[in-house]
Amino acid sequence: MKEFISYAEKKGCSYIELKSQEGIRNTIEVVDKDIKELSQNESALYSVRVIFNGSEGLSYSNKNDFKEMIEKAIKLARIQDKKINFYELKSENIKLKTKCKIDLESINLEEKKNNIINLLKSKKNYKQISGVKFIYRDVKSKFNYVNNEGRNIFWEDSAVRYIAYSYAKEGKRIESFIDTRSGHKGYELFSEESEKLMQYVLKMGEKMLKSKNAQAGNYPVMVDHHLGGVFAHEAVGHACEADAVIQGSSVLKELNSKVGNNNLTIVDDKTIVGNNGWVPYDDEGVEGERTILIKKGILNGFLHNRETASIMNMKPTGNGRCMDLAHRAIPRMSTTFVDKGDSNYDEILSSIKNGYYLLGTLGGQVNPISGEFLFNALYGYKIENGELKNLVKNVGLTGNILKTLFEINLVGKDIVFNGGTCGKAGQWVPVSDGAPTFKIDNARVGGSE
Amino acid sequence: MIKEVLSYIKFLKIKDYEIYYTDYDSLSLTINRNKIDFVSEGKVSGLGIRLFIDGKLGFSSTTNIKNYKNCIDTAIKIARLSEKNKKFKSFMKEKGKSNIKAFDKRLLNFDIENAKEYVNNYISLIKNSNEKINISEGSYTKGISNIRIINSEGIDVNFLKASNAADAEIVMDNINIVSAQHETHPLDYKIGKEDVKRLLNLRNKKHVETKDMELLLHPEALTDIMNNSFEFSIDGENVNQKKSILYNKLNQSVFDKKLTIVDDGTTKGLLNTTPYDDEGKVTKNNIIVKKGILKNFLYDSYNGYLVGKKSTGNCSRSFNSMPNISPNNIIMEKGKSKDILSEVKEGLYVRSLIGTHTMDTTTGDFSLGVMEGHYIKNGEIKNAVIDCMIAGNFFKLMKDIKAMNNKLEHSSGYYVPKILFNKIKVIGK
Repeated sequence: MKEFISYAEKKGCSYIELKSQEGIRNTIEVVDKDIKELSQNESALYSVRVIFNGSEGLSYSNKNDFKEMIEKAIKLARIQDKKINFYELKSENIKLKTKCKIDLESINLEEKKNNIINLLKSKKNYKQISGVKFIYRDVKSKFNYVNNEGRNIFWEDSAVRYIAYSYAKEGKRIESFIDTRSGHKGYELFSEESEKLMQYVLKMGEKMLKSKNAQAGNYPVMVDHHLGGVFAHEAVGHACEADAVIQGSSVLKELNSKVGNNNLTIVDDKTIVGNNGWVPYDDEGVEGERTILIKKGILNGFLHNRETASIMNMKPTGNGRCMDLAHRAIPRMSTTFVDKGDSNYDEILSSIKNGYYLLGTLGGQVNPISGEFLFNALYGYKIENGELKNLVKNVGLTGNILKTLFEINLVGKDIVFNGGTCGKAGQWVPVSDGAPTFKIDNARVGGSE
Repeated sequence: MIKEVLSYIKFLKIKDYEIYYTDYDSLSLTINRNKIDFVSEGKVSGLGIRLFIDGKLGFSSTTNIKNYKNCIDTAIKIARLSEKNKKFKSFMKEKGKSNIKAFDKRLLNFDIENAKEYVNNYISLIKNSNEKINISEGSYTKGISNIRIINSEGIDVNFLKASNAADAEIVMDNINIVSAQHETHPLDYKIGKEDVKRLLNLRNKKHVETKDMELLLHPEALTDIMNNSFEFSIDGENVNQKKSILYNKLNQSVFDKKLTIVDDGTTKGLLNTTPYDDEGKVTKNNIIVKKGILKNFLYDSYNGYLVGKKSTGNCSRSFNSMPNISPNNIIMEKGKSKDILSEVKEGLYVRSLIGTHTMDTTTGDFSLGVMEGHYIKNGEIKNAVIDCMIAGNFFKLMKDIKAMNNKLEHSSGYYVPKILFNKIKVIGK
C-alpha cells in the first residue's frame, strides 16, 4: 500500500492512513431441533483517512481502489472547516496473530453444526423448558493498517461469540433466560464452555417460573461479577471517555479529584489477551495499555483516541476504536472492571439486613451529563438478615454516579470477566467487563410489586 | 453483474435460488461542541445468495463482488452439509407489481455540501436561541440502497430505500436532551425550535415520591417500549415457536378496546414505506389489533407458509443476513382527547427513558430510568423529575388506558398518540 501513501503525499496530504479488513464469518443458528441459519459470509472493506490543509476526511469502499478513495477523502477534507490536531506516533512494524488452542478452520462447519444440535438435546431433561435457541458465530479476519508515520500493523484475528436462550412455560406464564460467551479465541471457547453455559441457561429458565417481581424502593444491594461489570462500564467507563469529558458532557471532570470510596478502584485494561475487549492495537495504530480510571476513589485517567489525547495534552491510551472501516475511531472502552478489594462474599451478604442480591444482566445505559445510570439484573434474591430468600426478576437499578461511587464500601476478591458489546454514536464494538462481588449501600431498585 | 450471477446459477443447474444484491451509498457528518467535527463518505456493494438443494438450505454472502462464483459455490457447500428442512416449500412466490411510491427523489441530490448547510443551520438555530445552550454531540447520516431481488419463483424487483437521520444531544449546565429525527424526505428545522423548549423545561428537577400514579407516555417513550416488547410478540416466528405471550390469543381481547393498531407498508411519506419487502413481496396494510382484539401476526414467507398463511410483506434483511420479520410502519388509531394533559389527576409525563433495551422482551416486564419526565398534578405540569424510575409490564399497561390524544406523532416508524395509562409504579425518593 506504500505506493498509495506517496500518491496521497504528492496530492498534498500531511497525514494518510490506509486500512483494510477482510474476513470470513460463519453463523449457525439452531432453534429447538431445526437449523434456522447456516451460513458463510465473506466481507472486505477498505478505508482512507487523510489530513489535507489541516482538515480531515474519511472515505471507504468494498473495492480496494485506494486512489479513488484518496481523492474522495481530500474532497471531504476540503469541505471541512475544522482543523484537527492529533497525537503523533513513531514508526513501527507490528505483526500479530490471535492465539488459538483449536484453530477455527481445523473444525469444519458440519461438525460445528452437529455439536450445537447435540448440545441442545439436553433440553429434554428439563420438563418445563418449551424452547431453546442457540446462535453461534465465528470470524477469522485480517486487518492491515498503514500510515505515513511509518506505522504498519498486521493482525490476523480469530473471534468466537455464542448466545444461548431458553424459554420456559407453565400454564399461561412464559419466561426466558439468556447467557453468552465471547472472545478473541479459537474453537476452544465453544468446546470448553458451551456445555456448562447451556445447562445453566436451561436450569435458570425453569427457575424463573418461580420468580416474583421485586419490591420497589431504596435498598442496600449486593451485585455479582456480571452486574458489577456493567456498573463499571456504565457508571464509570462512559463518563471517563475523553470525548465526553471534552464536550462537557461528563460528570467526571477533574483528574485527581475525589470521586468515590477509598475502597473503589476501576480499570480499563486493553492488554488482557483473548478477552472480548482485548485491544492490542487500537484502530488508529496506538498500542493498548492498562488505564486506571479511578484509583482508591481518586479520578486517575481518561480513555483517549489520538485527537482527544492531543486536545487534553495527554498520551493516547489505545481506546480509539471503530465498529468497522466505514466508521471513525472514537474513545471506546476495552475490558472495564472493578478491581478486587479485601472483603468476601459471606462478609458482604451478612452485612445486609433487608436488601437484594442481584445477578446477571440485561444491559444498562447512562446519561453521563446528569450522572444518572440504569442497569437491569437478569435475576436476584431478596436478602433478609444476611440470608438469601426468594428469587426475583425484572429488577432495575438506578443511581447517580457522583453519589453511588461513594457508597461502595465492601468489595470482594472474586473477579470474573464477561464479554459483551457496547453501543455509542451508532457504533457497536466488542468489550468486556468484570467485577468481584460488591455492595452498594443504597440503590434505587425498581420492581413492580 | 446480476446477469453473470444468474448465468452461473443456471450453468450449475440450481433450481431453487434467491439473489439479493445491494449498492449502498452513504454520507455522514458529526457535530462536536457546536461545530462540524468529522465528514465521511462511502460505498458498499453486497451480494447474498440463498439456495435450496436436495431439501437443504444454504446461504452465503460477499462484498467481494468479482468473486461471485466463490459465493455461489460456498452457498452450495453450505446447503450440502446442512440438515434437511422438510418445512421449507419455496422461496417467495407471491408475485406482484407495486404501485407504492416510497422513495423521495430529492434525497438523491442531497450531497455533502447540502448536508453541511443543513447541519450548520441547525447549530445556529440552537445557538441563537440561547447562548448557554450547547450541542455537545450530534450527527447527520444519509444512506441510499439500491436493492435487487431475483428468485427462481419469478420474483424480480428493483427498488430504492433511503435512510435520512439526524440526532443531537443538547446541553445546558447538567441538563440535557437527545433529539432525533428520522424521515424519508429532506429534514426541516421545526425540530430545533422544539428542542430548545424541551431543554428549558427540564430546569429545576425535583424528586418524586415512590407511589402508584397515572402515566402519560410521549410517542417517543411509547415507541421505545413497544420496540422491545410488542414487536417480539407479534413476530410470526416467535408466535410459531410459542415464545410470544400472545401466541394463542388470536381473536381474543388482549388490549384496551380503545386500541387499534395497523402495520402499514404502503402510505407515501411514512418512514418505512416500501414498494416491496426484502423477499420482493408487495407490501400491504395489516390490521394487528382492532378495538383491543388481536387480529393478525406479521409473517415472512417461510413463517407464513408454516401455518398456511401468506406473507404479510414484513421480511427484513440485508445482503449478509437471513430474513427476519420486522414491522413496516406501526400506526395507531388516534384517540379523542383534545387536551390529554388536563385529564391527568396525578401522574408522570415521560418523554424519554433510559435502558429500554434491557426490558424483558418475552414477558414485557420493565424497570426503567426516566431521562426526561415531568410530574403532573391536576392537569398541570409542576416540575421535571430527577432520580426516578418506572416499573411495570407492557401488556398489563395496554389493558388499562384512561385516554388517548387526538393527534398522531412520529417516532422511528411509529405513528402513535400520547397515551394516558391509569397506573404505573413510580420509584423516586
